[in-house]
Amino acid sequence: MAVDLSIRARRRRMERIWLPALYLAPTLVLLGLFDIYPIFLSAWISLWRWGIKAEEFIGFDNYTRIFEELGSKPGGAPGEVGQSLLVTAFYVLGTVPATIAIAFVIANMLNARVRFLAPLRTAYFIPYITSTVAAGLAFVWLLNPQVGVANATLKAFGLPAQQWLLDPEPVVPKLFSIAGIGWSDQLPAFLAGPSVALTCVMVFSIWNTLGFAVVIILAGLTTIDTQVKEAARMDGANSWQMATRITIPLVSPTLFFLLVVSTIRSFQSFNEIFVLTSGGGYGAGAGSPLDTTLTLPVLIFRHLYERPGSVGFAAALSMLLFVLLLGVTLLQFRFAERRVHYD
Amino acid sequence: MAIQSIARDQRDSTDSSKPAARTSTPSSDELGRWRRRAGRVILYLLLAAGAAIMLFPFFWMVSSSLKTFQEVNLSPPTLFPADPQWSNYADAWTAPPSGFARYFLNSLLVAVVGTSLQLFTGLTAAYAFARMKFRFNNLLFVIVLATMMIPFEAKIVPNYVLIRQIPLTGGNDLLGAGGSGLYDTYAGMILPGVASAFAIFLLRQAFMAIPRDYWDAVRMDGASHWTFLWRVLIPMTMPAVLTVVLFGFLARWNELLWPLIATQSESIRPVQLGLMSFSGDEGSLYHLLMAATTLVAIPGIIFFLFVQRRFIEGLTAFGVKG
Repeated sequence: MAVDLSIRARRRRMERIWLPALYLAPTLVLLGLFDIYPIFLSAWISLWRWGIKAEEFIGFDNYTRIFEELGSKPGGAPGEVGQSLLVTAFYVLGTVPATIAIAFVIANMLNARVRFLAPLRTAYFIPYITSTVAAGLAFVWLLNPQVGVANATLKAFGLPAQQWLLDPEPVVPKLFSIAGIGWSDQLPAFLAGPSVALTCVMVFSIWNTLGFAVVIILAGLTTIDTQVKEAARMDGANSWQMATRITIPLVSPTLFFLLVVSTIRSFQSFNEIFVLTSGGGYGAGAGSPLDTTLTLPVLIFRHLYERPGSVGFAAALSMLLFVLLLGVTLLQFRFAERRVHYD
Repeated sequence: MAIQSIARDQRDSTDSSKPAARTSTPSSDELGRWRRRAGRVILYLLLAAGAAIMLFPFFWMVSSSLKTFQEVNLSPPTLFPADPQWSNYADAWTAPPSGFARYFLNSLLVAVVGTSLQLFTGLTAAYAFARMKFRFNNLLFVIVLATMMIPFEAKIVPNYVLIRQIPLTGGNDLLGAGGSGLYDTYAGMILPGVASAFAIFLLRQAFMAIPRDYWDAVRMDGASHWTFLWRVLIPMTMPAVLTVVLFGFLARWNELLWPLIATQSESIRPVQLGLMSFSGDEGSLYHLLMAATTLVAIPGIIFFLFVQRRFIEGLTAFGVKG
C-alpha cells in the first residue's frame, strides 16, 4: 500500500501522535511500571508462596491465612492480623479527629488578625517538615523512662514515673485505676483502648501533623467573606453560633478534604511507629511492646523485611490495606460529603 | 437566676448602647477597649504557649546535644548545658561505621537526581496535557491522577519484587531472572518515586493559566513546542516549578521506608537510615544521638525557613504532601 502522505498530513500526524507520545513516554512508562502494574503484581504475588522469588502457587491460601490470623488465638487474644486491625483503628480514630479539632481552634486564633502571624505559623509547621526519624528520636529521648523530661516532670509533681513507649498496658483501665474506679478483665479489648505506648505514638503523630492541618484550615478561613461574619455579628450571634452556623459550614469543604487526606495517611502510618518503637536503642522493635503498636503497615513490613519467605503473605496484606483504604475513602465521600456545604 | 438576668440586662444594655458608643460616656467605651485588650493578651498567651509546646522537643534536642554524658543523664535534668560541648557534633559526625558524611552524600545524590528526573518528566507530561491536542488526552490525565489514590504502602511489596526483576541489571538476564536487579542500588532507590501525579497536576494547572496568545505569537515565528516550553512557559510559571522542586527534595531527604526495603548496604543508604542505625548502635549515648539528630534535622529546617512562603502557598493550593 503506497500511501503518499503530503507534507502537511505528515506534520499533522507528528503533532497529534508522535510528539505527545514522546513528551508523555517517560511519565507513562514510569507510572505504569511502578504505580499501576504493582497493584496487579501484588495480586499475583499474593497467590504464591514467595521468598526472594516465586516458590509455589498456593491459590488463596494467603487470604485464608489472613482470616485465620484475624480471629482469636487459643488464649483469647486476637491473631496478628486482628491485632493490627484493632491497633490501626485505634490509631486512626485517636489521631485524625483530634488533629483536625485542635488545628481548627489554633487556625481560628491565628485568623484573628494576630501580629507575628508568620513566625507563629512557622512554629506550628516546623514539626511537619522535620524528618520523622529526627523528630521521633527527639520524642524517644523526651520519653526515656530513666532520664527523660516526661518522667522528670511527673516526679516534680510527685507523680509516679511511667514506662511510656515500653508500656503495653491499655490506657483506659490505667486512667480508671488512677481515678480509683475498678476495671473488669471481662470487658472486650477494644473498650480498654490503646496501650500507653500507642497513645504516646498518637500524641507524637498529632504533634507532627498539626501544622499541616493548621495551614490548610487557615487557608480555608481566609477565603470566608468578612462581610458574612460582620452581618452575623450585627444580628447578635454569639461566638458559639458564629462557629457552628457560619465558620464550620463555610470551611466544611476544607475540613472534608483534610479528613480524607489525614485518614488515608493515618491508615498508612509506618514511619512514626518504626522510629518510636525501635529507635533510640531501648525499644524491642517495630510494633513493640507486645504488638500493641502493630498497625497494618508495620505488619506488612514485618512479613516483608523480618520474616524470610513470607513476601506472598505480605502482598496479600497489601491488598487488604488497599481495599480497606479504598472502602474508607468511598464511605467518607458518601456520608461526609452530603454534609459539606459547597458554594 | 437573679444575678444571671441582671448580667444579661447589663449585656443587653451595653450591646444596645454600642451604636451610640461614641456619644455615650467614655467610661463604658474604655471598659470595652480594656476587655478587648485583655482578650488579645489571652489570645497571644495561648498561641505562644502552643508554639512553645510545638518547639520544645527541638529545644530539648539541641540542649541535650551540647551536654556531657554525665549531664545528659542527670536527674532532675538541667534546662541548659552547663558548658556547651561543641565537640559532640564532631564525635557524632564520625561515629557511624562509614561516618555521617557518606550518608549525607547518598541522600544528596538521591534527592538531587530524583528531584531532577521528577521535574523533567513532570514538565514534559504536564506540557503535553496542557498544550497538545491528541486522542485520549483527558482519559490519560484521569488515569495519571488516579495513581494518587494508590497508597504507597500497598506498592512497597510489589515494587520490592519488581526492582529485583528489572532485566539486564544486577546480573539479571533478558527476562529479569538470575540476579538481584536494581535491588540495593541508587537507581532502585530513585526510580519508583520519579513519576509524580502531584507534580504533573500542579505544573499542568500552571501551564493552563498562561493565555494561548503567547503560543500563537511564538508559533508565528516558527518556534517548536520544545522552545516554547523552555523559553516561555517555564520562566512564566517559576513559582509552580519551584514548588515541585521543594516538595520533591524534602520528600526524598526525609524518606525512610522505601530505602530501608530497597537497600541493604550501609554504603549507599541515605541519612535517615544512617540516623536509625546510629540510634541502634549508640542509643544509650543520648548526647551524641541528639547531636546526630540535630545534624540531620537542621538542614531541612533551614531549607524550609528560606522557602517557607512558597512552600505553604504550594501546600494550601494543592494540599498534598510529596
